[in-house]
Amino acid sequence: MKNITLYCTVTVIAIVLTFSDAFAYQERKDYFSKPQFGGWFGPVTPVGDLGKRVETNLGGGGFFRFTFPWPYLKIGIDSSYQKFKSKGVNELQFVPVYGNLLFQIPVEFPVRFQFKAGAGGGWLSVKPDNKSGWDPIFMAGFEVSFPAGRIVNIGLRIDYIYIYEGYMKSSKNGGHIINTGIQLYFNI
Amino acid sequence: MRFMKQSIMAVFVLLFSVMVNCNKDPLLTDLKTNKLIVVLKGTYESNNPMPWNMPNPVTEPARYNSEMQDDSVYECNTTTDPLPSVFMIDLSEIRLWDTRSSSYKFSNYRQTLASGLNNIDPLFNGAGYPLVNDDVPTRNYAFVALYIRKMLLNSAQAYVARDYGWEPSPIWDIYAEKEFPTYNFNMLQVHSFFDTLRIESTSINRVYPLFIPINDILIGGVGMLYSSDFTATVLEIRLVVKNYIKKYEQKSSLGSVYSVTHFHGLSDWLNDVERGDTVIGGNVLAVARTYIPELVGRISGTILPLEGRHVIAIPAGRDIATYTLNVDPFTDPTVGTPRTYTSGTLRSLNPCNVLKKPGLYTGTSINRALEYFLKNENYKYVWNMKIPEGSYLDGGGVSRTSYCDSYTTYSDHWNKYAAEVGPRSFSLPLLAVYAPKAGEFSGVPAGTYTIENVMPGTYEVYVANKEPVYGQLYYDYNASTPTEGFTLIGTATVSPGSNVTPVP
Repeated sequence: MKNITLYCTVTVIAIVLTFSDAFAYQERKDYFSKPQFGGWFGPVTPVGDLGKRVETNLGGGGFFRFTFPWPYLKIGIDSSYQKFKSKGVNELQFVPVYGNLLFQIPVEFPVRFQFKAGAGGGWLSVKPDNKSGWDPIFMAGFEVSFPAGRIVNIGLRIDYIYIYEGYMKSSKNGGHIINTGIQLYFNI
Repeated sequence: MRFMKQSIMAVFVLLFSVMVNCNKDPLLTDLKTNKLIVVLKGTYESNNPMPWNMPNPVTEPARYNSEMQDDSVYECNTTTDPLPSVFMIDLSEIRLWDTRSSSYKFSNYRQTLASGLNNIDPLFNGAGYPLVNDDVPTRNYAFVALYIRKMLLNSAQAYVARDYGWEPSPIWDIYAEKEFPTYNFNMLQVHSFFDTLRIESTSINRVYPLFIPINDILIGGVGMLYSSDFTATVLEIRLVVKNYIKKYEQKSSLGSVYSVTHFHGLSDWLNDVERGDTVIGGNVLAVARTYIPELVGRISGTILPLEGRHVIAIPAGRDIATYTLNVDPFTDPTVGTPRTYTSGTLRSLNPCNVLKKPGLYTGTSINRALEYFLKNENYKYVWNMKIPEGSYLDGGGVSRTSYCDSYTTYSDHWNKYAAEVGPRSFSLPLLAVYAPKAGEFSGVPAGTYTIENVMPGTYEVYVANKEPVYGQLYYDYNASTPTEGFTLIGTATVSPGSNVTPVP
């Protein structure tokens, strides 16, 4: 029993020492303004018409971000791999690659709220037709991130991606996808 | 700052590359739109089906008893059951099998269809119901499999023996999660009588799924060559339901009350159902064919002075005997003259068609127990009469000698039976129409026919030698009786968009 108490105490002290920056958010703002890279994973959900053809699955991706001279605005490059299956023969593989602007709500608070919007391209591959190619995509999203030291950030994100195919005459619909995920990223 | 410039540059390069390399095909629209259209029909004919000709028990009792009422109705055969009016089918899914035997769950959607037994309903007017499905990869497909959860017909009655006679009550079953006065005969279609003779009968299921070869692939056809390059490919699945419904009787094995069930199901023309049988399987007759609407032509002509006959088209060089049922496969030296339909069905002509041992009765009802003993005595009597060798009366009342003298003969004869009713020996024609009698179809002159949606190729066109009989398809007996089956009209070579008349 004594041992357990001892281990717990040591662990808690270690955590407190390691993550001391979490208690000093004002210092941390500078770290958050550094270039960042990270990854995320979580459920990717097709909605609307696309949701009738393929089903939710787990997806994941990575990103880089750089802060503008104004510390509340960042620019990022984001990519991920998303594979949607169905109970039947339909399957969609989707690799969005896009740039986005992130706006952090300028409130002094340890938890950061960021809105983002962007555009880019997405590689799609559909089954059973076995066709693939690139389409323009647009996205908008929201993030909450928690500091975990000088380097590490933990966040939750929700993104909406619109796959635009309207520029083709025979197109009848675009694609709507919602990505939610837990992310881990680093200030470098 | 340098990083930021780089990343902005990267985004622009990316956008530019997307604009340059953009798709020529809307992929998401491809995912949604179907190029494969599945159509379900409930007719023997591929278009212009024969009108309903169900015998009325009140006005046509003789025809009703011979064509509509199965010979399994014998315990309670004095009652008048109403005719069925609705056919319901519950499909849990449809799959396609390619020629390398991998399966595609291309229609993983549960579908329930209820159809009125009339000439207007899409299932019975020749148009067919389009089913919900997705596309499949470009490939060659051999089979389509229907996972039939239920098939129901209404007007089923349970009769309980009372002092004053048979007391009827309607039977209810569940269709699409609601109760209706219907009977699910699909559960009795799982096994045919032949299946119940086999050791592995527990692993046989004839309706879940129901395998249907596409385009006669088992007898030399090509299957379905599906390519997404065509704007549409139609897969037509036909179940023979129209003019193919019969009334059966089953004894209830529940409780001590003496009761029987009367229900309607698909005709037992192929796999005959006899008295006391507990299964009616092997009688869901189905055929599947494909056509590409851009490429089809039609075959039309007249069979005058004949009228009211079926006209079928088969690929040139195919054996017409495949599309008729041979009822004379069993070598029996005592048969000097060719058999006809009155000689009996394929099953009753099988010398090894002996009664099955009745199930042991363990209940407390004295009536049921006595009945069991009687059946058991009858079973022993029939068995001793036929085996090892004896004489028996066939369906036509002619005395015949049995040659079921060993277990080897027994299994040989039943294997022969299975081969005769199997899809390599008997299959439905891919293309069939009904050439009407005068006034039967408005706007269609008597004796003329048009076979629609015919893929390019050379076809032999045949006319049936007799008018369709309710609840039956076509037999051939042996070569010396050309009055049965079909007669060749001529050959037609169809090209896309053409309308061809067969040339003798």
